[in-house]
Amino acid sequence: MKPASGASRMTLRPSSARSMYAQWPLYAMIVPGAILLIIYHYLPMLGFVMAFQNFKPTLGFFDSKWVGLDNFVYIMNLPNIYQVIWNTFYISIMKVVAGQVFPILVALLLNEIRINIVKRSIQTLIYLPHFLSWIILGGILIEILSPSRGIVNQIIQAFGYNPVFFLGNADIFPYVLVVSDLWKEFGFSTIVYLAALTSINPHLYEAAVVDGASRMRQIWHITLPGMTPVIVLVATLSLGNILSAGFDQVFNLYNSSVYETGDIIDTLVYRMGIEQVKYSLATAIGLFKSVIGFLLIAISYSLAYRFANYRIF
Amino acid sequence: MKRRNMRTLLMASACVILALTSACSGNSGEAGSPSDRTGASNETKVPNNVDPAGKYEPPITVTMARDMPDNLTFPSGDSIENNIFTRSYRDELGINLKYDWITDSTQYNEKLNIAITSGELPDIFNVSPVQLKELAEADQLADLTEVYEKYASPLAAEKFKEDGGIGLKSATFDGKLMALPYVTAAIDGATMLWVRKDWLDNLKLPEPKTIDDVVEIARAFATKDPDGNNKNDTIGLATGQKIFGGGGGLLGFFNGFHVYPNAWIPEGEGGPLVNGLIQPETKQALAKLQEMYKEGLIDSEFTTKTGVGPDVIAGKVGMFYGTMSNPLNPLLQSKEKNPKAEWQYYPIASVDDKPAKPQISYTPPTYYVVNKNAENPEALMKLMNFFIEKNFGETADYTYMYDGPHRTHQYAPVRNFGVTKNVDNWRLIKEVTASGDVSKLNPEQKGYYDDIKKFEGGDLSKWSIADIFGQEGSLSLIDKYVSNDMMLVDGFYGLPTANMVEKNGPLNDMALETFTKIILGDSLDNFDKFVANWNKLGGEAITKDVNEWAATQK
Repeated sequence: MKPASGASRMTLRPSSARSMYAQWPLYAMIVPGAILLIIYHYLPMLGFVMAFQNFKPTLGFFDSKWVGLDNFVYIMNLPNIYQVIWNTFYISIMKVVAGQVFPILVALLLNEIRINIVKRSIQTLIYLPHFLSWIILGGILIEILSPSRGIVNQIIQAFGYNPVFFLGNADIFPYVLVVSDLWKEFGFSTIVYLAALTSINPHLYEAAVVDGASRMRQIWHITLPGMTPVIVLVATLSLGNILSAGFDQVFNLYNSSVYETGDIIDTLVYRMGIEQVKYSLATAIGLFKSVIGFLLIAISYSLAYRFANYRIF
Repeated sequence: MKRRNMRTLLMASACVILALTSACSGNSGEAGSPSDRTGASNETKVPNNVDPAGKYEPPITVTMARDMPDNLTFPSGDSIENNIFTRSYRDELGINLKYDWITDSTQYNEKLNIAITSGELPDIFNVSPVQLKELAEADQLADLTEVYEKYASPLAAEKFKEDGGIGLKSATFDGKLMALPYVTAAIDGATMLWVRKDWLDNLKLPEPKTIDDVVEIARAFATKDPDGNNKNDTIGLATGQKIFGGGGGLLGFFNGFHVYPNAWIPEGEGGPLVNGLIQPETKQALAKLQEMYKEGLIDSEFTTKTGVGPDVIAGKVGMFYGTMSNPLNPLLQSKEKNPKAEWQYYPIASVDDKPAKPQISYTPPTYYVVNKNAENPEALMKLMNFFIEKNFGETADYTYMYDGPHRTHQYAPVRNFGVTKNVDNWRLIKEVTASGDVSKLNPEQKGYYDDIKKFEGGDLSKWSIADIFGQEGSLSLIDKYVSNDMMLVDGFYGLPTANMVEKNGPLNDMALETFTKIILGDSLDNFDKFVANWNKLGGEAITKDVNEWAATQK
């Protein structure tokens, strides 16, 4: 967030070497950060050559055998790979959409609450699950969703319906993933949107009230447009993760009876790659995901630039 | 890379300093004199002085990785890092044990794979067969041929031959021994059916002799309120999500149909080896399981459960397929919670008049290996000798096996029991119980014997030992299985072939998914599709590998 908004505020455009020279202390300040970035974020990227090798640790990058696209061919020949890719898209698109719309609504509602203490407590409460890991939440969800002992099914039964096996029914499982992910993360996104709301100039509201705008009108014409940059930013960034439908979550909740709809690329690669010591395979899929993610970010950014006149850089 | 060089440098300088100081104090003992040891770390890795039980002077530090067995308990004050074994290693062998990391047993493989990838391997660790092959081929391991020849105590060498040398053979690459196999009582892995005898009696049910009996009992347990609490909260037949597992899975059930999933069995007399997963009888077993699940006789939520333990302890389970060691876990905890729970084992029930044979495999489940860069590869053999000596040798001491309810032997990171140990113990204890001549018992056996006497005297904490090693204990069934040749041994016991490494992942996945879903109600016809896919996606190639391997074993 910070670097992005900082960069967008920077209107100064040093175009000549002279201004660079004049501002050299500023540039010098970038150097340590840049070096760290190169060492920890760019050099490791060279590891992607593993995707085209049959990588053995002791042989290293230079002596491992080159196998061309064999790793990608192997992945594409895995049984059910297309189903798994589809699951990944399906689950993560639902997550992205729900994870955008719901927090915006909650942020708008919270913004209308006038008693500060109530607003703050709600904010904190919905924010809490964000700090729990999926290992813990997985165990909790298995218990509360259990058809025989879980509280959710006891409520369902109290209304006279049959218990639902949420984690064992392939038709329902993806939606359980989406809802539980939403429950865990919406508090966090809500805070991001609330922060965006505070930056809206209060004079706009005052002017609107003078013009006789209702609450709804104010939301529609002032609040939402004011939030648009952040909404576009979050949406653009989340598109980059569209091929990661949430390994931690799925891994802790799924089982072989819901592979059909719940198995995602990451969990499949985990079972085929990491468990079987196939480094190259895991790298190949990582590279594949990064390339797709990069393309999606690039496309969505250019769309946002063209239609919403929005720019990060 | 840099870090390792740095460490080596530090170690080397530490060695020199140690050598100088100990030389000054005139302490140059026989086992590992200072000059010897500095020489050792620079040139040959095996020091010249050879004493399988010799002590390192000055002490060395060996780093290891560790998987913690489930439900491991310690005497007060002890921990996995400070217990009878670590203290004895330090005092008697001069080996300071340091764990780089410790995980529970389900996470170990994954954690180790990550350590392999990052190159941050401890000195000594245990690996799966696949990992052994990968590491040996990647030249990450120390050659143990010389270490074994020079340092294996006669008793240890004997233990390593109890399986007919299969373990050592499978760990040998191009004539070089790259690992020590964990030669364990494979026969103890044979499945048996554990049933709540008090529930059987409550409902006046017969013993489970056939699959039909099992179904009948499961039905009664699930519907007739066997625990008498007026709640419909009991499970007929319990299983975890790993249905191919022996303990807490359904392997014993499949074996009851003369079906041996993932084992390689000759097709007909002396025919080629085929995989038990894809045989026609397997479909019948699945059909029966499906029928039982539909009727609510199998735990309806088994797919979300990793094992049967928690439900057994909670008193919800009346019947599950397990092994001879289940009295230790979870049955003891079940009895602690509800002393009225009477657990009885039965041979796995058969679908017809032919007796069912539980399947076992002689392939070592794990191997102990030494990092190529370790300073003292012979330390592994010393640890191994020590474990074997303290448990089976002349200086054997029962506290290295059990200390009250604590399974002290599992504190040792390096273990070996040999193939028939437990059932041999049982046989001798039975003999001694009849004759009264306790002098025949070694300390371990004497320990069991005493525990059984204590249990008979009313000490309930000794129940699990009595229920395993007692005359009517679970080992009596293993003895029966062995004497009547009622076990089916997996015909393949080599290391995984290239095709297995590549294809087993997807194939196992597919088998688990298909079988689970058929049990949950998918069409049985999916089994035929599965067989076709299994063959197509590599099963055929693996079958060929296995039979080629079998030809070399003749």
